[in-house]
Amino acid sequence: MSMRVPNLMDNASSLLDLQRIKQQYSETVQQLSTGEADPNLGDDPSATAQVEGYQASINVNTEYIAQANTANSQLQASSTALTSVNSSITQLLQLGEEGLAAGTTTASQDGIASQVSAIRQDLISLGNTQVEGQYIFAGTDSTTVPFVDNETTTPPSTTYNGNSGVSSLTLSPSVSVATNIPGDTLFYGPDGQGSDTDVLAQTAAMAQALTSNNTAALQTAFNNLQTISSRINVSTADLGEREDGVTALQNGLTSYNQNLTAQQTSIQSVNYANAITQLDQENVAQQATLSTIAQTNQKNLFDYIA
Amino acid sequence: MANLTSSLSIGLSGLQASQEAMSVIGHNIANVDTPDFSQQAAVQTSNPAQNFGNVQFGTGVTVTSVQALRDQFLNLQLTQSLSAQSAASTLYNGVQAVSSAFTDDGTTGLNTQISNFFSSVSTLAGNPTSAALSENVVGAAQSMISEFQSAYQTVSGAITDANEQIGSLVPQINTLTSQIAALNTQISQQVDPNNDNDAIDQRQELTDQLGKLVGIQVSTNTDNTYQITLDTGAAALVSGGSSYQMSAAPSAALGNNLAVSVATGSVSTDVTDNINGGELGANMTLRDNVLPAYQTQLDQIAGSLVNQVNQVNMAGYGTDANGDSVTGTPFFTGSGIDSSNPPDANFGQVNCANNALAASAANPPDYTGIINSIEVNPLIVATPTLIASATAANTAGDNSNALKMANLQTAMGTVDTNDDGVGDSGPFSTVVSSLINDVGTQTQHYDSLSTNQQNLTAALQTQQSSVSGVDLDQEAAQLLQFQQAYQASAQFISTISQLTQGLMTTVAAAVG
Repeated sequence: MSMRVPNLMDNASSLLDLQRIKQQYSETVQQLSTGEADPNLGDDPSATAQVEGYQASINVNTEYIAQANTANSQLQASSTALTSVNSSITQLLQLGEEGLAAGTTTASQDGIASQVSAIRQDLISLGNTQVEGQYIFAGTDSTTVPFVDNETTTPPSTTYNGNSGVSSLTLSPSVSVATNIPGDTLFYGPDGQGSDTDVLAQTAAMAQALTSNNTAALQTAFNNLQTISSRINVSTADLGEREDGVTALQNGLTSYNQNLTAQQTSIQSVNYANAITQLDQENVAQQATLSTIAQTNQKNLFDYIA
Repeated sequence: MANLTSSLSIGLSGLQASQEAMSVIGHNIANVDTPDFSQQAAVQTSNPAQNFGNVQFGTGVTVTSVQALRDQFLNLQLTQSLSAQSAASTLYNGVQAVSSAFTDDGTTGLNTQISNFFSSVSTLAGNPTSAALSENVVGAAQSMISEFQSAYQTVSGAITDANEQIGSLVPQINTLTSQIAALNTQISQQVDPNNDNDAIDQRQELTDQLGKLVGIQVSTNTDNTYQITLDTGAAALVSGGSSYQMSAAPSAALGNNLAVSVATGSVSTDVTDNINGGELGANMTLRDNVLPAYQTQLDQIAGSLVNQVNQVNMAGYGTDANGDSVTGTPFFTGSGIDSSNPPDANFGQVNCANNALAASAANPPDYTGIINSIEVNPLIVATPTLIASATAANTAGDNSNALKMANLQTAMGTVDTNDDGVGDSGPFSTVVSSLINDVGTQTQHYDSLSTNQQNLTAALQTQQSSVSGVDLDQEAAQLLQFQQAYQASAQFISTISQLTQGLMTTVAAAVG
């Protein structure tokens, strides 16, 4: 059965086709100009959701990487200070050995005592180390000078004005790292201020023993400082391990983000070869449709009626 | 027996019939591009015969009617299809217009701004005493609020547009229903109501236009008048020669948006909830359902963010301009946030029906429009160190509370999606992505629907056109046919005239 195909119908259907081809052409041009496979939200919602999901993960990981940077710089500052503390204690132990050596004169002991006292001041300064205006050994009370020297007592003592708070930074939903060592823990040790584990008290005790030529007291202070040195070494190693852990996590996150970005790009970015081919096809289709419309409207029977 | 005079009449009837048929062809050609015009055909009928004894002689031809070729079932289907296409297209355009407000290009967009805010808090946690970093948090929070407000206002603008469209569509609908009713009257007053072809076509064209504006059901009465009701049947718009005026007036129940009524006599029926199709129905769907749903989700996300961040900030300690520890400072304030003095159970939270009681399903928080009023607490803007980084007083270097706040970004159960004041979804980025996905999916859905409906309409138009459309080739062929018939009738008259002339001459010679 043949179907009547009136003139109006020819134009209507051809124009609808042309309109769609032009719309598709415009969308392909938009893809090429933006470089995005789905420049509009409604183009491919599931792809957009995937891209959003990747972006959210990348953003969070980027924050964790930044936190890791901060954590590392804070750990490095503590580590540097601890290295100095260690070398001060090493000097103290050398001076102690000199004081304990046979035949040491009182005058030379006084000289050693002066050096020990100077090192004690260095240790107090290290305890009051500041980074970006923060006292790194003040616990979480980081705006307060943590160690105050009290020269009026014999031997001289110190007061700790910080607290025992530990700051930490979050490096992943399940990982956080302590970024400081409170000064009381580090300098006073497990037995607290004035005890055998207090590096500042034992340094003062060594100076006093040297001044008073008390060999027994000097030996005790020497022994205690040896123990303290071991403990500080452990803390230094602990900081180093923390730094290594943070760096490893940082590298892992950076690598993971690179993968996420690659996947995001593979979804988000236009395939130029496909898009250009498609543009060519749409161009040909557009020209063919225009030509068809022109030819359809070119002739009818009236043209042949003389 | 037939004579020469009656033969002349026969010839004349042929001339007239051909002339009338050609006139119909001319009318068809003139209306080749007229929408909804149905091609017409002259119906020729042979005249009654005259009896001469047992012999009947024909008396020529008469055009007894001009019939239009139309399929009423197709026409009504097309009206419905046009209505659905118009609705789908309007819905697509409405959602597409707001979709750009939800796109995220990595520098702007809700998720990016939320991420930037929590990132700034996270950075502050790295150095909680830094005034500069606290300032950054304030800036990031303000940018985040602006992004929320921008998206919200884009949707509000689209709702206003839809409402204004409703107001402008109603008079157009009234004009069309009046015109259709007038044509109904004209058609029904004809001797044969089925033969007023041009009025019927005009009415169909107006009915199609009406269908594009509002969803309708059309039925035909016995007098060939149209009975038109809303597609839900809630009210009649046209009944025979009567049209019922639609009106739009602001309604308090709709937040001062326009409610639509149809007046039948002295009774006015509110049909706001009973209009589905056409531009009017689509604009109502956009205004009352689709777009407000986006705003509701935005409000829930923003309200939940306010609740969560305020809870953490108020529990922690910041530092005032004098360096003193301060606790209980809400991070966000605004008219939709409880700022009672002295503080009550919901202090710092989004307002509940009863702020003296904690938020719950029985005492739900009102997130509606919260976005418009949110601001960073002016106290924090003036003194950013009031951001509570510390959990305890006088511990300026304590970052544990800042970490709590930063961790909200990835925490589950932070977003209240069922308005009971308790987080039941999260993290924020997932809920925002879900909203973006909703907008994208609806845009795609309406795009597909619009295209499908366009295809269906095109198919129906093709069918309708194949029945009713004017084909110039056909008209040309018929023109030739009737031209030849006309020429033959003229030739016949000429021949009869010559015979009559010859007879007259012979008779005159015989008499003379």
